[in-house]
Amino acid sequence: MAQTAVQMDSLALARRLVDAIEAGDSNHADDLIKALHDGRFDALYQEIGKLTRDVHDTFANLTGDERLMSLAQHQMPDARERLRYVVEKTEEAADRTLTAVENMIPMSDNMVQQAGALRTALNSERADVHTQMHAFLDVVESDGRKLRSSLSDVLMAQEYQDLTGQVIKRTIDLVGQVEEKLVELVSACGVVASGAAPPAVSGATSFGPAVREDDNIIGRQADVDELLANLGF
Amino acid sequence: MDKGMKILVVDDFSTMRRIIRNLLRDLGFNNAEEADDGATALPMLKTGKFDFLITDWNMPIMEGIDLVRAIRADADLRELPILMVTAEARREQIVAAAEAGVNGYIVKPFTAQTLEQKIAKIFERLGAAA
Repeated sequence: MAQTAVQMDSLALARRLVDAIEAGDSNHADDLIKALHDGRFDALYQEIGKLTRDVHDTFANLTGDERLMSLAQHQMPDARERLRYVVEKTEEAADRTLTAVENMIPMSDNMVQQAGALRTALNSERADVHTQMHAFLDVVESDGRKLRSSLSDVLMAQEYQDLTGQVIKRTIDLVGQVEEKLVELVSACGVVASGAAPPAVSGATSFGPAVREDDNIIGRQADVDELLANLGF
Repeated sequence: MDKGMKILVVDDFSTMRRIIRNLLRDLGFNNAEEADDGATALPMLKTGKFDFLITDWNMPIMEGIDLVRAIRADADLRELPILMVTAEARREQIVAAAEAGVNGYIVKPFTAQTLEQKIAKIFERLGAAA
């Protein structure tokens, strides 16, 4: 509304300015130009003043908000501790599983190898008395191979720890930054922020695992291969 | 392809390094060492006479992409074949990795077959070029 009034005033002033110039009244024209100029800036200053008051009031209200203080001082550090605990525990679990699998792989290899050697030894004897033994060895060999394959799957399944760990570590960093900013905000309350841009996040070139769909994200190896093929790979 | 070649596996997560080393062992490559980021890997590469590098991208201190650039800018290391194995899957990152000079790019999560295929392809191409 104020702006519309200013615009109408400006239009009326401008018309009078044209009249004054046409009439050759340069003194009056100068006064009108000054009036036009001042009117515009008065409105601007009023708007800035109003915005400043709003910002100040918002910050002043924040001081009275105990939840924000509690969030910054207790809940955020607590959330970070919990996330760190998840990283530690999943890493510990992944390590234990990997150790168990690494212990079992040579055992299954050995079982298959010994079964083969035993069969060779039995083949040099009369076969009829050894039929049952052969059947048993068949089982040991084939199950041993399946065991080996399953163990490899268990091994590969552990990669979740790397992927979720990366996501969680990033979240911890982000929460830490938010916490720091909130503490600053609360302690500096009543002082209007300088408006300076926050520092860039270390100019990182990596983004971590893609946790949701995005046109720019290539999730499948086949698509990566296609892109690289287009680049001459 | 020489199965006895010396391989350096670089990843900041020890679990992923172990997975990759186990997969390499399954594929018959028994001569592998580990580093947890680019800054640790670079001096190892300079003195260790490695034949092949498998590196992650997102790591503290020195990222994988910077390691690739440092290798390609080094007179002694520039010919080292590099396979990047990473969760970074943005189009511009894959292009950047190609421009930096990687020989192959695998996105996590990946399979044992993918690793086998990419290693075979890298050495097949190098063999053809030699």
